[in-house]
Amino acid sequence: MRVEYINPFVESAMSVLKSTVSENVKRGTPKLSTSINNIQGVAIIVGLAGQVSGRVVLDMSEETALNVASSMNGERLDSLDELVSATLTELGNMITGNAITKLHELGFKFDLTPPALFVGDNLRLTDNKIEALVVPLELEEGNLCINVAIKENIYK
Amino acid sequence: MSEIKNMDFKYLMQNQQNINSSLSIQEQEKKQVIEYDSKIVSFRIGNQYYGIDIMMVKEILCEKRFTPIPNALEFVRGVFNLRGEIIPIIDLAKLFHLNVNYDTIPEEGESVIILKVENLLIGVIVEEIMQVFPIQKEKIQPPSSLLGSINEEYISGIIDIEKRLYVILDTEAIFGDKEKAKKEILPQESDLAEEFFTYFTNQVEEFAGIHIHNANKGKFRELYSSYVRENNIKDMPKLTKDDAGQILKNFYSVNTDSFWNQKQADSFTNVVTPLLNKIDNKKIKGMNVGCGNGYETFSLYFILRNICPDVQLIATDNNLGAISNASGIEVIDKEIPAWLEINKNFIKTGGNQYKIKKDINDQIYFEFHDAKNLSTDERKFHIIVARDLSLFMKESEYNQFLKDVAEHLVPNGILIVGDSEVVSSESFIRIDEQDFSVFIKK
Amino acid sequence: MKSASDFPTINAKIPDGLKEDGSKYRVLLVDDSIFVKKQLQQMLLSQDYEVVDTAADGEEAVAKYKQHYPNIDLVTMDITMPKMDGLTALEQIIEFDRSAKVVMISALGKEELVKKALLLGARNFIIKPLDRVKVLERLASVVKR
Repeated sequence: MRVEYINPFVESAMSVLKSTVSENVKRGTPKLSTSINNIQGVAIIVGLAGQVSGRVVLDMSEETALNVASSMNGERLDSLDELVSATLTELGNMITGNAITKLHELGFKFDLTPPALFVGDNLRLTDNKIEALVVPLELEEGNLCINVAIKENIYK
Repeated sequence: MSEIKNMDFKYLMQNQQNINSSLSIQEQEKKQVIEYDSKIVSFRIGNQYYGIDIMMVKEILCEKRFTPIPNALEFVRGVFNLRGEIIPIIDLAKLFHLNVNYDTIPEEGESVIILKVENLLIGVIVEEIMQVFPIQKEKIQPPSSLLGSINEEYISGIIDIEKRLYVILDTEAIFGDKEKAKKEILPQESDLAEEFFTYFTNQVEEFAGIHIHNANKGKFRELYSSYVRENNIKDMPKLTKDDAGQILKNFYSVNTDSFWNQKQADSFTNVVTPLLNKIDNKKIKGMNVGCGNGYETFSLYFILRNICPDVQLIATDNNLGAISNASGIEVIDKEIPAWLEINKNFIKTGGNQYKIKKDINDQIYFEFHDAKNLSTDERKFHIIVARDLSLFMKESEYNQFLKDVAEHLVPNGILIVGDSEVVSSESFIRIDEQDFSVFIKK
Repeated sequence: MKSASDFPTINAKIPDGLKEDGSKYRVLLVDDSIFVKKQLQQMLLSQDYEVVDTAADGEEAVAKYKQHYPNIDLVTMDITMPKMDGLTALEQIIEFDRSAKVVMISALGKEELVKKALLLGARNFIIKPLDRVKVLERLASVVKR
């Protein structure tokens, strides 16, 4: 993945989480991977289109998901209902949207697709046709992972 | 020692048992006030029991990996690296021609008693280590004279403990003849050299976090020889982290951490131009895998652009810090060779600091990418430069990488590996060239 | 120098959502996310706005605008939505009512998108995540103009 893409996504994730979830967000070391083994329970997926194709996945445990959604709504939410889903997909939407906005300023033309939410105990996302950047993030609400995979459409 | 033949322990034991039983009546009266003055480590081979004076035993261990020694005597199983010390391993059953067949080698490994005979460490393999017994030295009966010529010189005697007979071996007699022992048991220098070299490469791997295997071992052999020569090392080579760093530095291809000099640039141009012209002369698509800090990438870019103005170059590395710096590389004027035309391609950022002009920088895609995941890329290239990458992959990973490279090159595409790397892949043919390791995809 | 009495006290401030005659500004809230709807609703209600109706996609937004017309003072419009996107809905609402006050609210703040929205007649453009103070400030400036 192009170096220029990395910071917009990482910074966007950090700033959106800080302003919507909690001030205290710590970032782990970015890694590369071809698959997400063991999605922790809840995954928000936003597709990327335009001069690239790819996707952004935000993954976390169900407990973290509920904590995050509770913080964002300012009230305790205890089940993965419609409001929690809407909150989490909106989180994915905001992180990706903000990153794309930054990338646009740098001259990269990206679009995004509406976010989708996946919930399951033993989710596994494998796509060996794409290499993904994985950044672990630590919040008081729990740990989550942002997983960004982008492939150039031009330059073939 | 090799002359210890057909030592008939069974016969010896029976004989001894008879002698002992005649003594046992007197014995019983004394039993109350036994004062032990020695200990033996007892063990079993086949259905016979033996003992060795504990003072001779350094330690006991279970081990399964012994490095075999070519042309060694039958009873020498190999050598073993015990915390940096190379120890010959002797199979006692074979040494004494005991004709026992161990059923199976246990999961956890074979039982080895490490003996210290004078200054020599020797490991002996036995079938089963039993226990340590306290004994009274005076209770050791001399081997019967009936056994006479059958190498009783290697046996201290026989002792009866809890109705079982133990043959006490005289390890000093067996292994004490240092000159002879060394010659017969200790691996000869030529055999040890390989063990030492392995030890050397293990340390370089450990300290530098790299992988040494067939693609790069040859050069490390050279580096080992000169290291041993320069430091006058006759024994196990013990490296420091700095040594390892220095050795690795000598492995790297020339101009890894600087722009290529005029000579290298010329030589690269001369080699690559006709090869590229054969493929496609309208456009060059290139990939620089493991581009590190970017010097190689920009050298490559400017050379390729001189060959053909339309160049698309991708530069990848799995070190995020390095690749981030590479894309905005900042250098001082002295680092820029004349052929890179400082005024045309660089912009002054202050003092003697220079940066590549942005429009040139933008022509190169710097990507955070792990070469092990190359198969996920769908692009095809005319040239792939991957110097010294074998160091950062295990052998199997590197072989897979070479396969992936072949997949990503157009027919007759060019692969450049490190100066000291060997490509043993059927997909490539080596081009005879001095300054670079150049291969063509078949 | 001004004295303290020149500044209105916080208590004396009239909520943004009230017109001069004391009636409430009426808002149509368009967003496919119930989270955003809820978030906006809370902000608006705290300032005494009236949320007349909500819509979850562009088509519904246009239909509801026409249905409530002329009793709508403000529309908040998401951009990425199913069926019909926010820009198309904006275009159709403006076509129907040239004086419609529509504020775009999106996670995407790409310059050309913002420009396009403003050219089509949007009155303002707010980028998510939503900051309460900023959102209220901008909406107030639009309705009171």
